[in-house]
Amino acid sequence: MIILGTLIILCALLLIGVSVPMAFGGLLIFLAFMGGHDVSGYLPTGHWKMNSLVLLAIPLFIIAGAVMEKGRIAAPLVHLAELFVGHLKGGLTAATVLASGVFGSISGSANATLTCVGGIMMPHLRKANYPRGLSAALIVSASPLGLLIPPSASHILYAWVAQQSVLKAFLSTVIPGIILISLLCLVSYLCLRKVTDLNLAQKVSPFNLALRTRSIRAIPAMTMPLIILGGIYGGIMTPVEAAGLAVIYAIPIGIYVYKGLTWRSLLQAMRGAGVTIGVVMVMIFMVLIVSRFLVFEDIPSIAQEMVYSVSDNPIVILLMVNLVLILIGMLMDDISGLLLSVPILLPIVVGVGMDPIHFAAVLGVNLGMANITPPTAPLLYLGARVTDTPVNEMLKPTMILILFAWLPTLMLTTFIPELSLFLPELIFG
Amino acid sequence: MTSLATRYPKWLATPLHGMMKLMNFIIIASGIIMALTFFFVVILRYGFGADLFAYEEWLMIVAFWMFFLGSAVATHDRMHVNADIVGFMITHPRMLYYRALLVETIELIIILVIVYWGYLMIEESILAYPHWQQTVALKLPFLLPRMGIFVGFVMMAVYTSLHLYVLIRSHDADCFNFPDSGSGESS
Repeated sequence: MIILGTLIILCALLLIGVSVPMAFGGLLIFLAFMGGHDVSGYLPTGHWKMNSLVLLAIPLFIIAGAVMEKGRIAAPLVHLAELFVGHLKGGLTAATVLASGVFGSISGSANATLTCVGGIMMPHLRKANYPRGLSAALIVSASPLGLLIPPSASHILYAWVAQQSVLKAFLSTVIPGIILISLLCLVSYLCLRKVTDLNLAQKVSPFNLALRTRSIRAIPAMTMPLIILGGIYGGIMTPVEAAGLAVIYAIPIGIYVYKGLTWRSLLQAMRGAGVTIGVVMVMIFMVLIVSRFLVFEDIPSIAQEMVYSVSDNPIVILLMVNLVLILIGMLMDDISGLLLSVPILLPIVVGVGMDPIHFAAVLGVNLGMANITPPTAPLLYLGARVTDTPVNEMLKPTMILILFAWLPTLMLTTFIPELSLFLPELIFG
Repeated sequence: MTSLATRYPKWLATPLHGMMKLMNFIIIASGIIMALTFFFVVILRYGFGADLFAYEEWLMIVAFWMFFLGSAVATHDRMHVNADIVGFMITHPRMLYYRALLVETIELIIILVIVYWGYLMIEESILAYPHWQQTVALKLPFLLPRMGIFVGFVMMAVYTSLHLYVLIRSHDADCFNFPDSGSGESS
């Protein structure tokens, strides 16, 4: 009764347009009525559960992403990638994907990746006569690479909820991320095969002065992932400290090196990041309370029994889990989807022999895909604004990229565990 | 520069504008404090072989104030994430208005219940004095971060009720679509 009521209330509130934290608030009111809980314990539960230093990595990466976005730190990376492959058919689209991957590894944020790389690449793609819908769809589809290439805020959250190693969770999506980069480049190239009027750039010699200048200019931006990832994997600092350092490093680089940031725009960036942090952290707060009381009502066991009653075949169960994750992702954002699904789905997948680190990768790819899958698709709508392209023009190429790049990556990640476990096992044994 | 504040009752606009400035200041200052703290933690560890004693205890208080005031500002700016599938399917302006009215009313009821729960939390924290819960090292009362949570929810309730007020007065579901409603009060 409670599981059915929970689903109906949550879906109904979300579908009519109630904001995600308030929808979870409504769910809590329902649980209070049905479960007869002491309501004075609700908010202190949220405070207790959220009172963790590890979680501060999320706001700090959001601030770092906002500062980098305003500081135009993506520009030299994009220009460098463009110089390498701009002369090839599909080269600019490949440069877009590669730049999204590299910038994603710096900022850890899909939104920042989309705004920075999209804002810079779209005029270049249009100038070279690349189809508008495909260009915008590709920019959007590549932006969740920031969630897959470490460091990623959602992996920090997963590791914290599932009690797993953050560093292993980070590494789990590196190979799926590389597969996705390759597939996005390939599919966009195939989509372009009938386009004949592209204005391609001239091939640049490796000894060209422009290439050297742009390479040197990109060094401060390229140093950032080295500091962050080198610091984390070298055992020098924790992910939270690395996130703090990323903010402090990005400010002078944005102001004095790339000159995209002024002290005034820095304050605006901090204010904007503060609002995003408020949106994300209050969602986390509400979902943590809900998931605590769902566990209290034994919902994970009930869900497990329901899934096992349909089939005990691991392949079928993993397909069902993926389907549920896709549906969750279509209805809510990645953070609340992750927090809600992990306590319920993790015992199910562990029950069929899946490693929790492998599940981190499956979840990462799923949530990345959910970010661009309508109807919620926050990145799709943001992408439409950034690239100045109508959503309906982007829908068909986006669906093609989801079907032929994202979905195969998801299936490969789900059914070939080595793709996610190879690097964590190689480095941590 | 148009902002939602122009639609509020005049006697409310000035205090709300002041409150917004204060919240923006706290949000920005908290972000800077958080980043600088971790920077200095690393510098102290490797530069001076020292530790910043129990910094997590006061930093979490700063963080909670930032999270919940940020959320209040997000409510003002209507930045909270929603799916709004029904909104995409409806095209009739009247139906859109009724849907917006329904959503705002539901959100107001929910946030008022949450504010009541927040009141219970604060009441319980205060009544426990002098045996109230506090941090281990610095003995900072848990009331401090919980006040941040409560104030954040109260401000969210204030802005949600103002949105409902504006919606009822305008009779138009599109009344929140300002070109610059997000930054209108940020200066």
